[in-house]
Amino acid sequence: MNPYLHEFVQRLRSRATIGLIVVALLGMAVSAADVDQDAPAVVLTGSAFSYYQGGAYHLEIWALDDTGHGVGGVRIELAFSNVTNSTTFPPPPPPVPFLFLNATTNAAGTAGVLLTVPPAHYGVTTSSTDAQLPQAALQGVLSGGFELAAGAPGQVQMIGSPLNVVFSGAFVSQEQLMVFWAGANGGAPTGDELEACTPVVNSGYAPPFNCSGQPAVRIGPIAGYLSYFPYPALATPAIEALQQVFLTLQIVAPNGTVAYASSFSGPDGPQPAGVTGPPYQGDSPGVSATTSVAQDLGFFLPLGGFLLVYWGTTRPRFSGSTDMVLVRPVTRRGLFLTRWAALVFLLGLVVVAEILFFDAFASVRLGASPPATFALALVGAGLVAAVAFSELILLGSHVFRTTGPTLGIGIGLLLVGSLFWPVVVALLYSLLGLTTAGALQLQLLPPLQYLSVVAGSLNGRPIFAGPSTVYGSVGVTSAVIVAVGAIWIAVPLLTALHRAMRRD
Amino acid sequence: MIVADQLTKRFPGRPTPAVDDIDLEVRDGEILGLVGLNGAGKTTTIRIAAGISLPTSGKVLVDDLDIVREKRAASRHLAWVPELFPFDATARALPLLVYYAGFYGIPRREARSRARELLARVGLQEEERGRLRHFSQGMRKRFSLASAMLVDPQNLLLDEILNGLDPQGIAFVRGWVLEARRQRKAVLLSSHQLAELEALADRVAFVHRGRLLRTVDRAELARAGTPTLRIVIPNIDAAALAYLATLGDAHAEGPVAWVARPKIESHEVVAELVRRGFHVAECHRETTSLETYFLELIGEAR
Repeated sequence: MNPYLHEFVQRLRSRATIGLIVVALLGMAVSAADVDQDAPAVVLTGSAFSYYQGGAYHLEIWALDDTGHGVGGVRIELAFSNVTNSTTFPPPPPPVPFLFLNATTNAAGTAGVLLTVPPAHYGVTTSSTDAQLPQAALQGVLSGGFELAAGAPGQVQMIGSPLNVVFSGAFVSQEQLMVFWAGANGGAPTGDELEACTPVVNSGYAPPFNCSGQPAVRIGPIAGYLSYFPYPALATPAIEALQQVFLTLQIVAPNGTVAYASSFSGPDGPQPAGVTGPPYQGDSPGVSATTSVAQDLGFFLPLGGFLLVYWGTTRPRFSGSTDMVLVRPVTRRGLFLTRWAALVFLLGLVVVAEILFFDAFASVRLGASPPATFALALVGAGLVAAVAFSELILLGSHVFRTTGPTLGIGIGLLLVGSLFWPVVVALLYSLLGLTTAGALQLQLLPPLQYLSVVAGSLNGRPIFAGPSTVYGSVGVTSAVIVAVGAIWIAVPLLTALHRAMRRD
Repeated sequence: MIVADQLTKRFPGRPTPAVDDIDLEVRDGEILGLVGLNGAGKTTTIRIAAGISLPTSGKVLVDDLDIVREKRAASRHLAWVPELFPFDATARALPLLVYYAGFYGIPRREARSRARELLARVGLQEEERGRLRHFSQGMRKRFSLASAMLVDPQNLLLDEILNGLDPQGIAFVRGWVLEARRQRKAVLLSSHQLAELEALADRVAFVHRGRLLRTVDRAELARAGTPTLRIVIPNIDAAALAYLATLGDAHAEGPVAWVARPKIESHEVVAELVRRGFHVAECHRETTSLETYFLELIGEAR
């Protein structure tokens, strides 16, 4: 066997590998706990509409996840109470007893309920269970109950707001618009359009109800019960103090009348000209979990690399046992690079295992896994963080040449760069007015934050501030992130190799 | 054959070189002793020759292969027994030898078999699974020997190999080194045990403060020494000493007198002393030991 291959295999079988596996298992345990803690439940948002026809109320209910997509298998229980309003036309029917109905959503996330009662006002309370997602809670209009109104036969009553802001995906915190809408007699809508405008009004005044008198921009046709649109980025003028920008959305029927309208508040106070953004609604469960896991692995993966480098390379060199290998038919450079390759290989295996575990655990606990490209980026970022930090330890050992300083500096860098650095950046951002760009660039500085930066970039969420940020807009583009990663891999490696070759 | 050509090694922050322009040759079938005080540059020279340290300038050829430029090939031609014990103390004896054997492409099964043989040969057969940290100083030295004997190279670099060995161990090493010479191997042997070195080495290289002072063979060493008569005279007195002083540089301690560079042969001295009424219990010619020679040499160097 080639001596370098022999050394490579020997590295994989060393005791340092056992240490790495222990650290990897710890990382998985902490990641799992964080996924549980950060996103303990999948929130199911309910939407519904009803219409009266043929002597019965037809109730169509959707169980939707955070991205506005249907979730099948949700059992919804409804309790209908007596008439709640006896003054409306037609005359009140005779009282009915409590009536309990239940339905389970199909694969598309819908469930139909037929309530054969006279047309009137009824109170409905709801509850739901989901065998697949035991902690899921049905929220929105169905969470606390609703009223069934007495309307003309075939007239659709939307229960709750038809205009909603939802996440673009379970693992994306970018918002999108979801329009929940139905046509006459509960059919799919045809010919309805979604429009938007951005009125500016004085603070303290109610927002405009619709785009009347405002230039409206057509967003798109509403082609089904659930329609999705990117959150409209409409240019707004500069505003003064005491003024506020709203985003007003309206559903326009084929006959040109406004069937429904709603306003979302935008920036308040003096603002430069810009675009309206979606209202901040927190992180999706996947994003929240990814942020936590990125921070966890940003500690455990470099710690594993630290152990590998110290036990496998640095300690033998300090004790002199590397000399007994160097006297064999190997070159100094070959031995160095072989050990480095074994380090990268082992860390690569651990990073893949960690991300696969996260993927599987998220699937079980959150009901969704990160997209493949997302997971792949996390694997790459984790590898960069772990390898770059290991190389720094290696370089430090060549500079300091003794155990104490090498261990001390390594542990210090690990704690500061991994655990405390986000706190430092957040403090500088919130207390000293550091710009978003400056904060992101500062976060990119230590390799231990690389995984968090990549996760934040994928999510559009910096870990130190609430508002979503497109990293590229503040100079932290994908190309910059990749280039920084490449520098963190290459520079410590080449410097340590240079020093190793000059060793006395 | 090992050749050091204008070998120089400077360590950063030190004003003088550890090894300063040393030329050395260890021929096949020869044991070259390397003698010097602590810090003279012996170990540094050996480490460079072993490919562990890099020279600042100059080169070392091992069977005509440059130990720096042709490291892999050159390393197949040599073995090194270090002065200290640089092995992973937590490792076990047999697996560690098998690991080292892997660098020579020896299959695992064969490596285990060979390692077992070597451990038995150095008297460690009961310690195959023992951790090195539990080994005594002598056992560690024996393990170092086994490590060097894994392959059978043409050149041996032995740094203070006799330190820490018991008489049995010393006898083993002596036999091993002499066997290597019989097999026409080149052996570079540094040691502070000059009596052993004197008995083993064909030539001795003296280094002092990084410089090679002189390389001498056995005959030169004998010639270079100061001939001295050692005479035991039980009834010695001032008259006897006065007579001896006429023959050369004389001094006495008790009944023993020494005459350096005597002008006449020993039997003539004995005859004259007897004629003058002195009893001569013993009289023989001595030459200077390696130790005396070395101390005189570094005295000159100062």
